[in-house]
Amino acid sequence: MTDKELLNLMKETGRRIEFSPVKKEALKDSILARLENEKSATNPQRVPFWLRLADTFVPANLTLRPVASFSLVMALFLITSFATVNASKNALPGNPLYNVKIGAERLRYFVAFSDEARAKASMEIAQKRAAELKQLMSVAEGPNKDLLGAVVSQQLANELDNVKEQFNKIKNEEKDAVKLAAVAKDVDARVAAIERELPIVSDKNNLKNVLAKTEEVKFVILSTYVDQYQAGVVDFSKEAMVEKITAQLNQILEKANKLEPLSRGDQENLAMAKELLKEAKRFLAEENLSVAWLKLQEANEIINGLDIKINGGIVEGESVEINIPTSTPSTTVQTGQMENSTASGDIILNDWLNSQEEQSKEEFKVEIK
Amino acid sequence: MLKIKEQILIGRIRKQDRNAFEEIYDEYAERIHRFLYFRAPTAECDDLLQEVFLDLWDYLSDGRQKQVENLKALVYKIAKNKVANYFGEREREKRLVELGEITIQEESKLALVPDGELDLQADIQKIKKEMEGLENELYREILEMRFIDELSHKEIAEIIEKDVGTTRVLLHRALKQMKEKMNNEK
Repeated sequence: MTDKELLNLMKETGRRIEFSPVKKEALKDSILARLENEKSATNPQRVPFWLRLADTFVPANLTLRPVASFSLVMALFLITSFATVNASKNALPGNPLYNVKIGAERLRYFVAFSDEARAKASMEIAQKRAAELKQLMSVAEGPNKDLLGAVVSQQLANELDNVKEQFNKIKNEEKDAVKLAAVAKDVDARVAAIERELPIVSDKNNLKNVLAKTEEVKFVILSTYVDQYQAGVVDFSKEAMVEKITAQLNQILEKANKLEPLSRGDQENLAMAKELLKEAKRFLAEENLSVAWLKLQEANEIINGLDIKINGGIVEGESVEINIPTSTPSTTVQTGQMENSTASGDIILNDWLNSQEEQSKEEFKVEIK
Repeated sequence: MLKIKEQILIGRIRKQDRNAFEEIYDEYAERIHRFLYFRAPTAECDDLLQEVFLDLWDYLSDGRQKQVENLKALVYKIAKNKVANYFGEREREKRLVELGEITIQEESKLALVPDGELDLQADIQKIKKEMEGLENELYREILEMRFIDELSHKEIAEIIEKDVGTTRVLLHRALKQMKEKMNNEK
């Protein structure tokens, strides 16, 4: 049997699996009967105070109660804390009002009603963090400058992660390709603006994580451009697309060249990744963008996996799965617990960040899920 | 993001509305039946299907659960876990059979196939045998979801909890590996 025959057999077999309407109804009745017979849960469903409050203002059968209740909380917050929030706008880490500023930003994020609005809110927060970082690093040396710089750059990296996550959701869900293209361009421009700010920051240690995150966001954006270019939606010329993909390819190659793999397996994988990049370059020269992009994605995945494995930089307790292509002679999918390779200061940093978030939640009594 | 209709149905289920749950059952029962039929013994499909939807009800009706991002992916994930648990139980029962602690009658129930479905079962076994040659369990899962269940890249990505780009790459590798395997066997 050939592979095509097997795939056809699979498709055909799937379609032959029938579910008779009679059986379907019978099983439905059985399920509903079991639900009737089941005892109700011993603990009654907990209804948060603000949902019950929203019930008095919103009809019971409307499923937008959580939205209405968030609006209620936000309205109460605005009435009582407007002056405080206004005063906190320019606060930097270390200022007591900085918590208020962060809290207001998170609230704006959580009441956003769409993935696009959340992505935009995240990007705006990220841009603020970048501006704060620049400002912090330009002031005179102080006792907490390094720690505060690390705090802000970590927050910036987290926001960029958030942007990537929201954008991926938009990419998967948005049916309007033109709208998606507009969002992609907006995020692209804002990330570029952040990148322009960063070189001015003198502390390179803080930058490493942030730069990695901007690269991840840019990769997702470029992936969208490639899909949309192939669908004929985005208005880039072929030359522009080739230029963008080439720039990404060169960046991945630069990253690959900096890796120093220790094990033989890793060296082989790195060699394979570089080979894939070479093939991608060749397809780009032939203006075959789709295959070039596929090769580039594969190479990127391998190199990212190797980077995490070799250079560490992940949180303690996090497992790492490296997918190794099966074209290599001896291949396994490796997982493992990586040790925390960051300095002890990062543990303090993470604790500080967590305590700030907990404090913000407590202050505004918003249930953040 | 959930469709508006699904959001409304879930909202009603949170209030223990069985009619809303029926609509979700009508929407997904056939697909889940196909999913289970391919992966589990035919005789167990009906029970497993019921278990899947009962678990789905428990999840959706519990107001303490976090918001559902993708209902289809959730239903398939529950089904996937049911199959995995079933085979975990079956391994334990096999060991008990070996130890003589389960009767022959119970053992034969585990392998029962209804009349009239032998051709279909034979093809399913043929497919499974060919897929055994693939080294990576995830590759098999993705190929089955794509070609048996006819799920989209996006849907598969949600179920296996990876992004769409990675899923496409994994599918590409799975197909490549299958092709190499078939070519080697010629």
